[in-house]
Amino acid sequence: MIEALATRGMLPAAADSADFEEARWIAALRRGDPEAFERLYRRRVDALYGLAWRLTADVGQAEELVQEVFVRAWEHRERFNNGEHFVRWLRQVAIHTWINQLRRARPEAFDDEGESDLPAAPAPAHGVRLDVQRALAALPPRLRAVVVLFDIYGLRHDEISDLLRISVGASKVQLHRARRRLKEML
Amino acid sequence: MSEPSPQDRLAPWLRGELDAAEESALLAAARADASLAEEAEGYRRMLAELRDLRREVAPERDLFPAIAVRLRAAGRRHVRVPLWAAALAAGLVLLLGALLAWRLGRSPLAVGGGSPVERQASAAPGPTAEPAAGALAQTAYAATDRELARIHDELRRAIEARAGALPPATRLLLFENLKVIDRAIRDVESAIVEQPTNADLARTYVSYRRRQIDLLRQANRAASRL
Repeated sequence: MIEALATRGMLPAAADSADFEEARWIAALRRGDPEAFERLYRRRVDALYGLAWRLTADVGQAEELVQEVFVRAWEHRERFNNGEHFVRWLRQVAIHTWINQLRRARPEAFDDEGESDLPAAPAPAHGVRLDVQRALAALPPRLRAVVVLFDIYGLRHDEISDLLRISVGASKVQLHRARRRLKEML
Repeated sequence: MSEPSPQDRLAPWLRGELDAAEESALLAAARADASLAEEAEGYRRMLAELRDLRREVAPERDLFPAIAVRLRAAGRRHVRVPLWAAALAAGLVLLLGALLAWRLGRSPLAVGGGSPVERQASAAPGPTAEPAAGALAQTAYAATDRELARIHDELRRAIEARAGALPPATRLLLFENLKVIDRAIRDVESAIVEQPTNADLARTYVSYRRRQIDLLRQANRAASRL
């Protein structure tokens, strides 16, 4: 019966139901409900950690970044309108926090395309292809960010431009450079 | 005028300027062009690998306890620290109970040593900066911490000697859970270093220590029965 109603569109499909559930958690979070906050964390942490790990290329930094973003999410809980807004906010704050952390450590760290902020990936042994994640880690941060957002997360150049606060033209040029460097490494 | 290089001919694609149809057309043309085919295929393979990378990756450990501790430490609105350790320990984790209370009641309230709570107590400013009750509480926590550390060390040595008697799955579960608790303790230790006079953190630290000890105690009992 339930299945029949669902197939006729009279009951929400699984994804809609999850959205509805998330909307309830967001409403509860706005009221300061810590359980709703924990549920939202559990639902969204893998997506945020995935992004953080791809960007930072470091487990410790990714963990720190995720913690920082969720601490801020709690502080800003009254501003969230819905699940989509929450997810977009998490992503945006993660990226800006990461860039700010890089710049605090070294002002030109994010803009410098010459070197990675991480130790260079070791050259692969003859006949062995370097793993694509390790090659990503060896890219300078800004090139890595552009290629991660475009090629892994499927963002458009205008979205990357907004997130990284660079021009659309710069996003295209950096994607080109990042892909060329990756190919040289692989 | 020289012929554009393969890189230049592929440039709009590499800049991400082509839509799916244009990309397919360019790749088809490249396959028919000996000077471009290998280069284009290399890029196509690399981009396919990138697109196949997972967007969602689970962290190696539960980060929520550390987030809750940070929120508490910052004096923000209360966030419950979940009973994650209890769940992970599959029923092994219980509070210490009367025996520990009895032992602690007889331990000397000496201050000093190396644990974060002890450092917290010894570094606590005098009565002009902190209420006397707060300083007393910290001293008591430091003493409790020393006692907990001593019991922990004894139990850890015992279980390491007996671990071979435990079934492999139980042994794995035990040491995985100890690792989780160790990490939580390290997180709280870091928070204590930043906020040495925060009594909430000291309480959280002691409660994690007690969970750790209880887990060790239960495991020792189980191993001695085998």
